[in-house]
Amino acid sequence: MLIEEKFSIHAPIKKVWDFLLDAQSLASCVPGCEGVKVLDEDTYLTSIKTKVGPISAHFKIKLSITEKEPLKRILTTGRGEDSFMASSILAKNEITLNSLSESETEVYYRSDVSILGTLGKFGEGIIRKKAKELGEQFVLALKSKIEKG
Amino acid sequence: MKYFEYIEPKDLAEASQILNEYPEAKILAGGASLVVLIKNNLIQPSHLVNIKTIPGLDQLRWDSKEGLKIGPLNRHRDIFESPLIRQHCPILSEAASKISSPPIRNMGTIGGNICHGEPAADFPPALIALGAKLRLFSTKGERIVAVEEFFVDFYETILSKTEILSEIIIPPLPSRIGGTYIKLDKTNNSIAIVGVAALIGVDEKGNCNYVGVGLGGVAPTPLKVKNAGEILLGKKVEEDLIEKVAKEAQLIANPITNIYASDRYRKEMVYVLTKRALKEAFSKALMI
Amino acid sequence: MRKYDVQLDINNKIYTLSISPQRTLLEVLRDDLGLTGTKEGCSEGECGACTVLLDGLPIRSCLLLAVDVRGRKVTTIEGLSQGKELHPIQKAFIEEGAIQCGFCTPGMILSAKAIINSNPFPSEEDIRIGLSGNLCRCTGYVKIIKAVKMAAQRMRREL
Repeated sequence: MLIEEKFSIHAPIKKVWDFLLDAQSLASCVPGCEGVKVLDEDTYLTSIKTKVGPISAHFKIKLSITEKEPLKRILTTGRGEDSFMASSILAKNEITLNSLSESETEVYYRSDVSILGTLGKFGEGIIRKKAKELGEQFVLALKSKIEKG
Repeated sequence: MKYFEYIEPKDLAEASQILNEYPEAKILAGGASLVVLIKNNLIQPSHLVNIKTIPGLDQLRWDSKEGLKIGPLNRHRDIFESPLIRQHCPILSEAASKISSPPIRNMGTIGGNICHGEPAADFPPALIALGAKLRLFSTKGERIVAVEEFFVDFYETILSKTEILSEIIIPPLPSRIGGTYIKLDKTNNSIAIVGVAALIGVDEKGNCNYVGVGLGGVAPTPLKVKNAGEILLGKKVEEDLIEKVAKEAQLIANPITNIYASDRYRKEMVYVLTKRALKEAFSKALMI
Repeated sequence: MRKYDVQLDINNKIYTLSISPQRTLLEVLRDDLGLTGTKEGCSEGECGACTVLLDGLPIRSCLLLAVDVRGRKVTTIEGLSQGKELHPIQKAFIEEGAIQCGFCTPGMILSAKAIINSNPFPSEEDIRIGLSGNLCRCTGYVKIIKAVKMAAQRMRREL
């Protein structure tokens, strides 16, 4: 499933870039994220908890930065697993920055997510809708943290 | 399946107490939905509380003032075969007949069907159209809620941790009433892609004196078309008004895309089927 | 882990067992009682291979907890024949060629029994609805439906 969003942040492009590359800051914007561990410059380990009705999923995710174009683009791949529920998640993500002005930056993000296994079978359509909600929460958190910080 | 404790409470108070004591406990009725979730490891309850052991939860009786009282442990099969239901609210029998297959109808209960919170379930739209109310019991007290208020999100209801659905109440309806439940599905009583239940009542002058429209499968919860009354009550049931209600249904629909259908298709079909259901309900009402 | 002492009435025989609550009726029938006529197909209550009769009504034994059977009568495919004498429905299935791999057959036959018990004159529609909970991957259902019609006819004659 494809999750895409375009929005602008009231902050200069360098500030947005630095924030995005700071693992802890980025993690703080992801709903259900339980913290992040930096393995090396381009690899993070994180876990994300999410709930649909009575069903809770707990994904351990390894995020790798596959491409970095300073002040322009970040490509990442996330591979995660909820072994308890025999489900895995694969996300190919892209964030592109565009400077609209000295104090305004346009952010475009795009995430190609596949959920495999029991969770995918159970409610792929529901997960898609939930993912969209999570995406919206992510954007709100990102904007508020960068603009206020 | 993973191990769980198994309890057979003697009454609802005991069942509610157990839910209070063990937050990961789950109510077991027919098990048609619950056991599937446990088998797939989607939920891992600590206790299963088998309420089939509690007497009186499967009763079905008519009260001339309050209407039809349906116990939550009535199986889909019981709902389908019940002469009382065929007499007072046949739309519910219709919905029951469209649930899955005979073995599931022999096990699954109307209470379980409602409480599972499946947005595409078959009973909720019919119950919404009937103006049904739900009695929720807990040791802390009781409350009665309208069916459409019961659902919060995908597989999420307003039931608190200790509450148990104890009764479904269908208020008396006008005598000249017709209803239908239309289920769009891929095959043979599989999960609804779109479900529309419509009830129309007409008075001696031919004016609409009752309308209820419930939708399933087009949002995170079953929906009530709230403006249907405003549009139709007191008026002659004509094409353009039916059209308005159908457009309203389409407006409030907020469907998902999954392997069975896209959100766009559901959005389109809820309009088509609401129109169809209203027309059918109206012709049935005229035949009385 | 607790075990419960339960008495199961299977094919008119009483079995006393000590069962863990998370075990399904299907598991107990096959693994504890050696009644392997009932099959495990999807394990999710969709295919009908696990169909048994509970007080004469077809149910999904893969979704029923064994401890929940609680004094009700279970009929498995093994309970249909009288000694070596096959039940008319079993005979009809064989004669009409309604069996290929045989995996769906026990469930089909039990569902057929329930159909005929509730209606000795089942129409094709009645049969199709009654069998709608049993999937067959081999036969295309035509001969199965024919077998049920034939069995109903024969059972009426025997009445």
